[in-house]
Amino acid sequence: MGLGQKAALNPQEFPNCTTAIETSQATPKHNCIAYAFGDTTRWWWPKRPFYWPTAAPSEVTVHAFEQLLAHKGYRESATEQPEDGKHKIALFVTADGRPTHMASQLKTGRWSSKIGQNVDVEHDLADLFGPQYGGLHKVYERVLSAPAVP
Amino acid sequence: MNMARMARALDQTKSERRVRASGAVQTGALHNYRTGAEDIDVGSDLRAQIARRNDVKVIVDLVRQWRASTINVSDFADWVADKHYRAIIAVGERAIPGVLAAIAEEPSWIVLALEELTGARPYDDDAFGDLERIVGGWLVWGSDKKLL
Repeated sequence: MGLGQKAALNPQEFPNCTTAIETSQATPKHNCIAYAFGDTTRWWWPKRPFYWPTAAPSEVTVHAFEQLLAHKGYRESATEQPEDGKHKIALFVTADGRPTHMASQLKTGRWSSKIGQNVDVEHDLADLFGPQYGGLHKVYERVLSAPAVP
Repeated sequence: MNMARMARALDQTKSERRVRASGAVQTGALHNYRTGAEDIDVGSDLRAQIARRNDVKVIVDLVRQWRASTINVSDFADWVADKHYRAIIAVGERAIPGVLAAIAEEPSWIVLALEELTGARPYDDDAFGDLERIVGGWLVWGSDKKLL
């Protein structure tokens, strides 16, 4: 496997992964949350020694992750379809509501994700549904004319 | 934190990585992380295995296995619950040189184990999330303690 080829994700963790394409080398420097907000230099998680903006509670809850999204200018989206002038982020949660993952929408309507300490992949949302990340909680959007919060 | 010393420690780490570039641990797909790692049976008597073999090598192999097991996960709670991580913690202070050797070979978030084993945090608060700076702080700490 390699760049531009089908991602070699563990089928026990991602049994629905059929269309994901590897788009980077693996790195532990950043994770999916950082990547969704365009930061490839830090690992974001609501626990020290990771980075987490003070505007959001330091807890692994949907509330804390939604506070982070709101701080960054995102609000709930009515559709997961791409819309001109908007950037969208998908939040994944486990069956018991624990946040696990974020994915960033591409202009094509496909999604881009950093997989833990592993590679980046381009994928459909359903590719990552399963025991590792759970399923889709909601999709959030930000109007691109609005300035991004650093 | 002495930034010059941290930079030297990081340079040394990068140099070692270049030397080992054809070796076991490469950044790449999941299967690459598994290449070359000798399986440690964490279900058996780990202390007996360590007594039979080099401590550092056992711990470095455990770190490789931890990374392979948790490579797709962002949540530290899953990292620290992993059986390989728990095995490293169960070894106690004797695991510290091996964990330092592992992050010198390839920076990773196994630095969490160093914090748990030592209670130390040898980096500044503004380094939170920045793996290179955190690893650099630990390498300086390990050098100061003559554990590297």
